[in-house]
Amino acid sequence: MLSRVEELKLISRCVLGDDRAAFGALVEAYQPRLRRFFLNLTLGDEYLSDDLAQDTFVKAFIELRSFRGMARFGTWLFRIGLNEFYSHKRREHPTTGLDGVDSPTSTPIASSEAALDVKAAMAQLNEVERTVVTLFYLEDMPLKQVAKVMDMKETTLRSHLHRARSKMETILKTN
Amino acid sequence: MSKRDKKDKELGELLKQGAYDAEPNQWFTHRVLHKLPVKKNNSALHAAWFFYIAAALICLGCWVWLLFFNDTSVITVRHIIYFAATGMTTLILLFSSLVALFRNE
Repeated sequence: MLSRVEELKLISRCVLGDDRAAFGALVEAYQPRLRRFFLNLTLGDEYLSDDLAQDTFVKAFIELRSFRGMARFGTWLFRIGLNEFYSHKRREHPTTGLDGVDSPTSTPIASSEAALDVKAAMAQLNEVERTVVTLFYLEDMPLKQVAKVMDMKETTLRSHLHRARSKMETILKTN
Repeated sequence: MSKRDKKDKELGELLKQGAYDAEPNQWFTHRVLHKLPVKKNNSALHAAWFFYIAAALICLGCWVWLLFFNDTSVITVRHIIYFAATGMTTLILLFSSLVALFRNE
């Protein structure tokens, strides 16, 4: 995990000197988290997740000059990633709203029943709820940071999180 | 809910055990770097800036010569022509360097 100073040094090298090796170091540091984030959003679609993750990094490189350094690079990167995901959904289903329930694109190959239950529970959430759950519980992001990534008020996020938690608890308790 | 309570921690642990996780991919970074836009060739830009700076210095030299090494107690037509030419050259140089700067941005 890179420290804030290390991140800023790498970003400066990218912006000032078009240093691809420095950007490669940023990609190496963040790619496991970003790929995992997309895997959970897409309910296990590996190819789509990797495509989205690659597109996110390319977009981040192009827009790196606009990164102000006020928030962590990860927050900014996840924000771009989320926008990429929503753009992809709009291209696929232009008439479906993002709050609609999404059916899984692939069947999860669970190593245990508990894993299958968790994945089934995640599949029952809508995309906004799944995003909040992934960022808050899986990425251990504080709610303030999740609010920055999702560009939502904390109060709105709390209600999404509460609803998602209730849905998941119901499914997990039943199973 | 900004601080995590016990239920949140338990749910978080359960989700981490059961949620999707990305397999290590040694080619991922390589593929991303290949998708990046082509590196800009900045040598043309550096050459252009070298000539702008050289032209600015020559312009400055002309102004210094005009103002400090000429007898301007009597303004002649020649002085007017020199001032006008140097002034126009300075303005053109400033304008073109500003255009080049914003174009590059």
